[in-house]
Amino acid sequence: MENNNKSLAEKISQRIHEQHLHMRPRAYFIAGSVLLGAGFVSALLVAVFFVGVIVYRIRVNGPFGYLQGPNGWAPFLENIPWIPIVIALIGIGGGVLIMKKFEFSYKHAFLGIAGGVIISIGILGIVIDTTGLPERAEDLTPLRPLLHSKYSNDSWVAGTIVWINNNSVGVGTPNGLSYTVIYTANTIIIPDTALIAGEWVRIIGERENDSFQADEIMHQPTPRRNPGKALLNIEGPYEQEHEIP
Amino acid sequence: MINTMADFNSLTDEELVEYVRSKDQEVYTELVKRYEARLLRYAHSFVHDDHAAQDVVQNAFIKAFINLKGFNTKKKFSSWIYRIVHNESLNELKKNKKEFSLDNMHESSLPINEESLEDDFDFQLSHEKITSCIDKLPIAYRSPIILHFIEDRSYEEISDILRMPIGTVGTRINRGKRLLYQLCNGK
Repeated sequence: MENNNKSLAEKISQRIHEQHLHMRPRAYFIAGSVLLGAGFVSALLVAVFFVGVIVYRIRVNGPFGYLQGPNGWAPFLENIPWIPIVIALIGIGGGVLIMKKFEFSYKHAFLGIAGGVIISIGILGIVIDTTGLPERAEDLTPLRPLLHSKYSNDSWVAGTIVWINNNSVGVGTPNGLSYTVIYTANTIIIPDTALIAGEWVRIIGERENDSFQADEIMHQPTPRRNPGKALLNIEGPYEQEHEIP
Repeated sequence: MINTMADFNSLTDEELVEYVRSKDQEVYTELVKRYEARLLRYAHSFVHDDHAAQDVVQNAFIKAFINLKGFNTKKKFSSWIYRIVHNESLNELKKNKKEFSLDNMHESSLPINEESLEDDFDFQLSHEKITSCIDKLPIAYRSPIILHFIEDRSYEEISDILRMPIGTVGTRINRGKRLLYQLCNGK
C-alpha cells in the first residue's frame, strides 16, 4: 500500500537502488555499433562472394542447358548450385536484417534501400565472377565442394565429343572421365544435326559402367572459362573408332 | 554548480541526461518527472489500463536508465523515451494478447490536450467521442494520430519514435484522420 502512494519517480529510484541497477558503460554501446557494422559488412561480403559462385557454377555447369530436352528437369535441378544459393540468401537476409537496425534505414523508404543493396550484391557477384576469383578458389580444399563441378552422373553427362562411330560417340569430361555414348534412331538430338568431333554436348540417358544409353543428346556451346584457366573442352586431335585413353 | 530544482529546470533534456551520466544519477528522477504524465497517457492509449500503463512506463524508464550512456545527446531525448515506451507498450500487448476492449478504455483521469485535434477537424464532436474513436483505430494509424494531435510531436519526431520515413508518417496521419472521421460519424 505504501508503495502505491509513491510517485513514479520514487518507485523508479527505489527499483534502481534495490536491484543495484547500473548504466551500461559507453564501451558496451561502442562495441555494439562496431559489431553491428562488422556483421553488416561480413554478411554483404559473404553474399557477394556466393552470388559470384552461383554465377560461376551456372556458367560452367550450365544447368539451364538441360532444359532444352523433354527430360531435362532432373539434371537441371541436380546442377543448380543449391548450397551457394542458400548461403547467399542467408547473407542477403542477414545483411538486410542488420541494415534495419541502422538509423538511415527508416529515414528513407526501406524497401528501396534494401532493393538497391540486393541489386548491388547481384552486380558485384557478376563482377566477382568476371575477375575469375571463383575459378582461382576452385582448388582450395574447403571451397572445393561448393565450386568443383561435376560433369556426369548416372543419368546425364556433359563433355566434349572426342571420337565418333556409327552408333556411338566417345565423350570426355573436363575432370578426366570418358564414356561411350550409344545412340539409336529413337535418340532425340537437339537440334537435329550431325554430331561433330570436338563439340560440347549434354546427354541424358542411362549409364552402365563406362557406357551411356542416350535418350537425348544436346548440341551446346562450350562453357566459357575466364582467361588464364584451362578450357573445359578436351583439345583434339579427335579420333574415330577409338576411345580416349 | 547545479544543485537546486530551479537550476535543473533551466537545463534541456539532453543537458540533463549528460548531467545524470557524468555527475549525479539521482537527478534521473527529474527526467522521470518531466515525462511521466505524457508517457503514462501514451502507454494508456495502448494498454487501456492504469496499472499496466504504470508498469510499462516504469519498465521503460528503467531500460532508459540502463542504456542512458547509449543515448546520443545530439538527438531528442523525448523521441528516445517515447520510442522505448512505444516498444514496451507493444510488448505488453503481445504478452497479454489483450483484446481492445471498449468497456473501460475511457476511464483514465489523465489530462488530454484535445484542442489541436478538434481544431483540425471540420466537425464538432465531444472530446469523449473523439478519444473513443481514436481507440478504435488500428495501431498503425492510432500511434501517429495520438503522437501528433495529443502528444504534440512533430512529423520528424514521430518518424524517430515509430521508425518510419517522414512521408509515411504524413500518409498515416492523413489516412488516420479520414478513418477517424468515418468512425466518429458511424460511416
